[in-house]
Amino acid sequence: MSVAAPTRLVRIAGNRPLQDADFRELVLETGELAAQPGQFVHLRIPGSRDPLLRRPFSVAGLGHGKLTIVYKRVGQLTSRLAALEPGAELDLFGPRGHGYRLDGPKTPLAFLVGGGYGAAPLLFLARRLHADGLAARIVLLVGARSAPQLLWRDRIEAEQSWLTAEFATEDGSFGEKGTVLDLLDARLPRPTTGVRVCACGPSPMLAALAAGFPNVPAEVAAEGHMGCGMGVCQGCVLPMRGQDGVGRYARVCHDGPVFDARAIDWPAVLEAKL
Amino acid sequence: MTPDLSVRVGPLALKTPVFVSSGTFGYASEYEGLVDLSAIGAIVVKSLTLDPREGNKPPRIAETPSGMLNSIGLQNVGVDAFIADKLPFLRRIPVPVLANVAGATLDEYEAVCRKLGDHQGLAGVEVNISCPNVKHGGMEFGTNPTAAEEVTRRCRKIVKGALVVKLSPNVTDIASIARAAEAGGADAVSLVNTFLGAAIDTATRRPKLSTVFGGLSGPAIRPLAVRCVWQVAGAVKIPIIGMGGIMTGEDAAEFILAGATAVSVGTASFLDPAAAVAVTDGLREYLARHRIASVKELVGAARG
Repeated sequence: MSVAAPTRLVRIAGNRPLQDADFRELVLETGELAAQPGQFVHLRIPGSRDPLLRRPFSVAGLGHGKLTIVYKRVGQLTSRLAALEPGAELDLFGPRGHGYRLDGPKTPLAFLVGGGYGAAPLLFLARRLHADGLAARIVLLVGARSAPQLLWRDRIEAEQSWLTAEFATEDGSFGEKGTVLDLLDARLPRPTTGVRVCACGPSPMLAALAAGFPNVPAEVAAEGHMGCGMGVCQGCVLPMRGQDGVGRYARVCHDGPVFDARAIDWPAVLEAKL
Repeated sequence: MTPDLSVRVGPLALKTPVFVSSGTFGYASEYEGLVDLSAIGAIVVKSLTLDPREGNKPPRIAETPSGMLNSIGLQNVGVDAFIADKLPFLRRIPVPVLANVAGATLDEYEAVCRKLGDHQGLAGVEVNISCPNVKHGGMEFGTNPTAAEEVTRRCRKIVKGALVVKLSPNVTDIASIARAAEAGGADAVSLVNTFLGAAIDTATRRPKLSTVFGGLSGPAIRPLAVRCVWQVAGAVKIPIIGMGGIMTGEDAAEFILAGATAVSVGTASFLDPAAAVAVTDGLREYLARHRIASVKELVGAARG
């Protein structure tokens, strides 16, 4: 039995800081790849023992044989990553996991809601929804603390022919003053029939979305401390609501990362600071 | 000349000496299509308990220098669901499979072994007396020679295939526990399970794991594990399955040189699903490079 290697080395085509230099955009020469918005690639510096484990990065763009991710310099691996030049290689496993729903009936109105660098997969998602005719109207809402952290503002604004995009900053330095959920609340039609929400961002934001808009079907991309990235190690589990005993925990890497917001036990997520 | 990798571990005749460790390879079906399963020496599946277990609260893993802490808490489907849902796949693959059995009491170990004993498709049982992450996960059996011998003896009466006892390194004298397993009738001992450890997030000033303590694995523990294998190899005659941070063929050779007959790949499978195959290839190359005809010649060769 011959089996292709599950992991491979891919060359870095670009690795540049975004407007806020803590955020960086990394482009990998992956060749043609079937990745869905909401899926992740599990990356590692080749041969590294420290850091040891792979790290998941949401796919933020795909095309012409290249895959884009956005990352924030927060720890050891992302600091090492920031120092790598184009031409250097990374060890890639994936794409893995389940992304946003791309089947089913066309939605009259899709709101894509991103907080911080959580907005990364949403432009990719918007393009897929548009290309596949899965939403009659697509509204992308991006929020951040302050204007420099608004991810890909120029690029998103350039897509306004088919995409409605609006921004919110907590300090009011660009767009509406407030959170991205304040903006969603202001723009959401009532009744909310025919509306679909797809969100990505920090857990407190996703929890607030689930609590504040309980009647709107929302798919959210969750984060987890992953080990294997393929459902084996049971490390990245997320507490789910309304079930006892076995099955109470779902694996972010394998059952997600995209979940129905209502299925997640948000108080337990926030208590565990996941 | 291709070096001979075949070994015997008790009643098991294995094509290669490279196992995959319990808890790091799921129930193997997850790896179908990703890994050539037939290239693996033997597969030890995730720990089984009598009833399903939901496991510990997250966060369950934390990365540490060249290693990881885990506190999964024996999350598993339970022995009945294993037999109904997982065993049919395992029966189809051309690799010996060992079920890993954990329990809180002697009765539970016996009950799980008895349930498994009625079914084809298993080459044997690995008795987990070393889980550090649950209150009654068997580690009390793994830290006391009398209890270790008793649980081994009870399982031995039930298990017809290979009986392996997995040892905890969280003891003062691991050799005494290994001798107890041998006296109880084990065909082999596997070591080591994870070392108890902890990590604290200095930003939040809280432990990184919900349970505070977890089991440390990965290359960080390799020298500790090699030391344990050396000690146990001097104490028992039954074969040793050595493990702890093996990432390459040379890492595997180190354990074999210390006295292990076989080795097992654990955490490395999380980095590379095909790590066990890479370790096997690396070990074969190592033997060829050093003109060693059979891996059996390497067992304990560093002991002089």
